[in-house]
Amino acid sequence: MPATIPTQGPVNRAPAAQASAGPHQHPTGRDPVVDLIRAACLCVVVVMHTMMAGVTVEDDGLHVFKALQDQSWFVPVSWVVQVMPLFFLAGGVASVTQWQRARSIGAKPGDYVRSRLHRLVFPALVAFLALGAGQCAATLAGAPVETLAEVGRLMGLPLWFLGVYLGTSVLVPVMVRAHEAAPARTMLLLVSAAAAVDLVSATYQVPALGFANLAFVWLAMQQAGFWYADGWFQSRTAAQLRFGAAASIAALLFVTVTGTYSADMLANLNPPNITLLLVGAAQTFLLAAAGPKLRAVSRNRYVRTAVTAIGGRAMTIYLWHIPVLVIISALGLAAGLAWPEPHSVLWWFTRIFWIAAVAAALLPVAGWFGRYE
Amino acid sequence: MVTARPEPMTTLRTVIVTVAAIGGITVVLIDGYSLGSTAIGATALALALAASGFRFRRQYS
Repeated sequence: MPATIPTQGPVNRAPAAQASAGPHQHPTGRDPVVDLIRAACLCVVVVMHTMMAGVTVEDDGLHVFKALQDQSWFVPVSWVVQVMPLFFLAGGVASVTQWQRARSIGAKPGDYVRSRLHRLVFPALVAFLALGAGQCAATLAGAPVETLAEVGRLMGLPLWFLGVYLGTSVLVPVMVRAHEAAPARTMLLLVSAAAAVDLVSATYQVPALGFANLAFVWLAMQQAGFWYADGWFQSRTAAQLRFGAAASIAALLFVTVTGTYSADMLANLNPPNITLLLVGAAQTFLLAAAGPKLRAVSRNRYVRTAVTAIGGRAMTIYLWHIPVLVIISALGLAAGLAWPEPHSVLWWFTRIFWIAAVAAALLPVAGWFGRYE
Repeated sequence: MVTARPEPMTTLRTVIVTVAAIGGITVVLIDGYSLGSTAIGATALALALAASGFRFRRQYS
């Protein structure tokens, strides 16, 4: 019978990992710092998407735009709020731990893939069915077709992450084997491939080619997660970690100031390019440097409760936060509520209430649909 | 009680269900939650889950 993939329990590390793993691993096999980071990143994503939402109603219908796009002050902020590399890093840490544990009790790669598919795809199927039914009901109720199309497009935007995360998760057994056989060579190959894709797509003006980096960039960050799980980052000295972070940021400054890449890290997300690896490297070094302090924070009872609650509903929150955002906006507009002029004093003042409203609406949604995680 | 054992996930089956799942997600990503794309996407996800041995009752009962 195919082995059951455990989600808890002690970790049996590969020999290479055992040699370098420090006292960072939780007895359950989970790293509380990584769980904390993943929950915090999800909060950042929800808040940023909520802040980005801009809606105007003109004579020709509803117009939706990114409220913070093209704001010069937002460019440096994007270096801080671009947390997608951390998501893939955290995913790498969790998946290598889970796969090595499962493998040690006889699980086959297919068993692991099956468990990841079920974990990631079923909540998405539930969301598809619910939102499809909603679209159907709105169409029958006579909602304007153009508005529904725009709303549907917006609600589908976060799905890029699910597709890529599913792809990288399915490849975990293969990527872990490559990491265990030749960690440095595997990382070098992925980073080189990402750089080559950037070079070729820029040289030959084929932007679509850049989408190949959905694999190379995010698999490289997954590898960084494997290195983190091995304890490689944590076994560096504080000075080495600070130097690593500084060097990554310096490289990022160089490639953006020289105009090789956009300095807007949200623009660099689609398709991903090498700047996200530099952001990810800086974040990983800083995460390892701040590890002891973050570990203390993660022990706080309230923090632990929040992290557990968010972590247990992460897929639901991710899948549903934009639909919730869109539905609240639609209800507000239908009720005749005026949308403040973006970047006005009133707009900034109301953002806190807007974020609170979206968070409050997400709670019952996460509670209800979260049962399918 | 005898429960049905899931079929082993061969490499070919793994590739097929992964492509179906990512394909279903991509259709909705590209076209949004329109009626047509949502139906296609949901069908692809459901088929991927079924082919990978997903059983709702076993998972959630």
